[in-house]
Amino acid sequence: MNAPALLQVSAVSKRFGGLAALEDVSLSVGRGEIYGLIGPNGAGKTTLFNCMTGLYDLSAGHIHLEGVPLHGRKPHHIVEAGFARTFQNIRLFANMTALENVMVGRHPRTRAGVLGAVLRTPGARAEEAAIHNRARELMEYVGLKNKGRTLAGHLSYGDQRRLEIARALATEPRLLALDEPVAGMNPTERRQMSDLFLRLRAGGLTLLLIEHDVKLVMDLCDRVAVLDYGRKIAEGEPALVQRDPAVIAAYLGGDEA
Amino acid sequence: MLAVLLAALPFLIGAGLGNSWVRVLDFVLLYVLLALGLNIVVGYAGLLDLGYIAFYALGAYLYAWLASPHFGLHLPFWMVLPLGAALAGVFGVLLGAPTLRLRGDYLAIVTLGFGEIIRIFMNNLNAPFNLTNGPQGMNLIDPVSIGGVSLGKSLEVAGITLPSTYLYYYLFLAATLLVIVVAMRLQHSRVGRAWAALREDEIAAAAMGINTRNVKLLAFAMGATFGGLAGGLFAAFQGFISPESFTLWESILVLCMIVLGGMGNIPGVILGAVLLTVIPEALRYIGDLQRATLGQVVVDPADLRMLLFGVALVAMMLFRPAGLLPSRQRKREFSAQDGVAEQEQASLYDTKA
Amino acid sequence: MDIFTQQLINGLVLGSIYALVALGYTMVYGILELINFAHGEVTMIGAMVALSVIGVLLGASPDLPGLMVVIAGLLVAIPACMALAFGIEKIAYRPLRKAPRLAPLITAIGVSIILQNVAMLVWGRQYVSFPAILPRGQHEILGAHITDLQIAIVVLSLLSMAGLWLLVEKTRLGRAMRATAQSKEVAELMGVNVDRVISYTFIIGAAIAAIAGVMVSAYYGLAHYYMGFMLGLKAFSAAVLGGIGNIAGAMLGGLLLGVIEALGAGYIGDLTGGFLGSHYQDVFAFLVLILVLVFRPSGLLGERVASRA
Repeated sequence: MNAPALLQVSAVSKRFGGLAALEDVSLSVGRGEIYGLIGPNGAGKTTLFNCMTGLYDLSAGHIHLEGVPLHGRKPHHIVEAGFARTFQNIRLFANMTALENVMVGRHPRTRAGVLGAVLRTPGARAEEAAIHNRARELMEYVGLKNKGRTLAGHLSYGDQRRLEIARALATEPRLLALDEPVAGMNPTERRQMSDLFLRLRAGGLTLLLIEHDVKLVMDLCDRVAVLDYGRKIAEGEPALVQRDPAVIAAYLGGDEA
Repeated sequence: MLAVLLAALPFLIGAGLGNSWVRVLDFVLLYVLLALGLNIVVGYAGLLDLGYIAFYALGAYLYAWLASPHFGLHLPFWMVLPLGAALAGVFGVLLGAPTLRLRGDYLAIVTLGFGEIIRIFMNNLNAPFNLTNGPQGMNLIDPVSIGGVSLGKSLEVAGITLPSTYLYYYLFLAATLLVIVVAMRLQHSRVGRAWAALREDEIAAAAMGINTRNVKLLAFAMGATFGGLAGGLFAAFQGFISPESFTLWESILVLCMIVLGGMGNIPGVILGAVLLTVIPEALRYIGDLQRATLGQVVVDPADLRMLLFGVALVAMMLFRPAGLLPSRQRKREFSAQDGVAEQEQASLYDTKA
Repeated sequence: MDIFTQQLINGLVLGSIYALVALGYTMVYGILELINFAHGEVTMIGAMVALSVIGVLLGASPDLPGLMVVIAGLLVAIPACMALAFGIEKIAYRPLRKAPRLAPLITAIGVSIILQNVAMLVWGRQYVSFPAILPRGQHEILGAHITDLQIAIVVLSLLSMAGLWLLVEKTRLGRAMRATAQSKEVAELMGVNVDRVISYTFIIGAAIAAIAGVMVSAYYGLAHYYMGFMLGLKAFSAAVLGGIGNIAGAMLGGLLLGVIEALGAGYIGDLTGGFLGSHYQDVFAFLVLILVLVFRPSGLLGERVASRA
């Protein structure tokens, strides 16, 4: 790495009781990279996401985004710092419309409070209109143009994944972390998703990707890190990592990958 | 059309059912106010508050302190009402700040405890110095008076005599309309969306950059403020308050209203408040009915009232959990099981996209 | 007379009753994560049923030995409460097991209101007094008084707790309960009939509640349709204090709360320079509850239960 890292994870450990879910994990993600995080089930990938986004407290270690410390910060601070995420098991606001979901994502970038809302001040109305417009743009961008009024919970699985990405994008992240974004999708949908990722990267966004689909990771990612039993066992270009004996050993007897 | 009906309502009811029902009508509006306030906390933000009536009590007692012979203060209502609302709001924050990180059902019990503590203090603070006059309560509270016209007395306008209950009807109607507008505007705002997100999925809400603690506190404070406002109006209207008006059962009654009507949905909440205020009044006729048919009152209708509420709560949860007029959200939420199945099916069969 | 020792004894006696009721809350919470709001009312029904039986027996022959009459009342009250709790769980809670969390809590409140008002219709609005038929011996220890009744309450409480402890730790049912509390899904996979375990949990809690109900009415010499409410809240506070879901915690929490209340009521006047009097006794339970939830939501012996993912 020559360029300074966008995301710097330094020696992060996370223990639940006596169980070490993450052990001394370090990695750095450069600007504009698509960085893959792979590993067998239970290797600690989602735990790392939860640590990075403030859902879990770190047992040890530091995390910085553009030099700003994220460790010990609340989830909403981390979003404000420019780190957005999606969830492995899709956590949309199922009973709100798709558009409302994306509008919620504008929350950290807008200001209107109770007074603005109650008095309908010009400022609050302009902001509300802007939220609305931006949300529609993002819906269109991810390919959900005419689904704005559908309840999020009624969308198809693939559309829900897309909506989660739109919602995360609404927070104006510099880094978007996606937890198994193509799980359960058919090949067509997967291709559409990887196109979307490439477009996002072309727009200047950095992507951090947890994925089981090794082919997608190999095709898409600039670099990958492999976690196994909470430790990073390899990092580097996909083609090299794929031949790493430690990685092969970790996957033997694991998934079909 | 609706405006004409609302304006004429006390005359229609007064002519049709008698003036005592106009008084009931006034109470309906007070409960609508309360229910709308609690709806912000429970319906919008999904926080179960079982001590809500404490904020009503605070508003009422503040009004009594500042506008009655008790301390010899007689401040005008336009000063006292906002103060009461603000005091309740502050207490909402004070109670909320330490407790809002608790899980929902714990929060319910803590708020319940808070409500009881407030009531116990109201009941006992007649010594060593007399703050609340204890269980006897405080009376001779000033009526609201607007431009020198007291709403506590009948008013003659253009040859028509408007009894006090009619005058308060219009005041309460104005307050209710105001609160409805505020509640609706909040619901469809950045703040309202944050509340809804919080209710739907707190983790996802936090991951969208929502400061969940502050947003919850805001809901608590807003609900408490409305409660305090309603409490002040109640004290002025009644002229008398005592701790008995602020028991846990009043909190539960208001909760019943929004559960019955449809949590989160303003028309539903209004319907619930109307039904649960009017039905107990109508139940009084069951006493007369018993006297007429059985020669004596076997079951005191007042005793039946709470029993029916209990049955209604259980039955609603079992058979129509989203309420009589459910909001779009709640309807789906309570049929979440079907929703999940649907979703899984969709993911299994959806291959086109 | 030594006031401190006396309040301590009173507190331990009352606390052992709280502990018994708290067990019912904690067991149900441990398995279902439900605050069984109606549990206090089950306790009240236990007291009322026992008093009715006692009344009938004394009416039939006033010369029956008092202790026997009370035991007969208890033996009717226990199965009555067990049947009641079984019914409540089946009708009001089971259908809502997969509903949002607020739903069963609201039905629990509804059930609580129903029981209170049915009790009011059946037994009236007045206090029902507990006839003075129990032995009334009094002993002196460390400068304080302790009555036979107080001793009996503590001993019976300890026996009930020991019995429950054995049941949970040593029997098949107990193992199934512990497994279900850990994870309903896993227990089910292991062949545990989860529905039945849940029913048993309610039933056992209710049996203990019936004992507590009889004890509390014997202690105060009266019962009332409203008594379950405050008793239930305090017992719940005790369960939270000890660490909800934890059986030993409920026992410890109950005893502690009883002592805190008794000492608090005894000394609050001095502590506040006469500003607050002993009629604030009921405030202590809520203060303890709020303080515990704020500073140590897991309770004294419990695991972490504050909001988690």
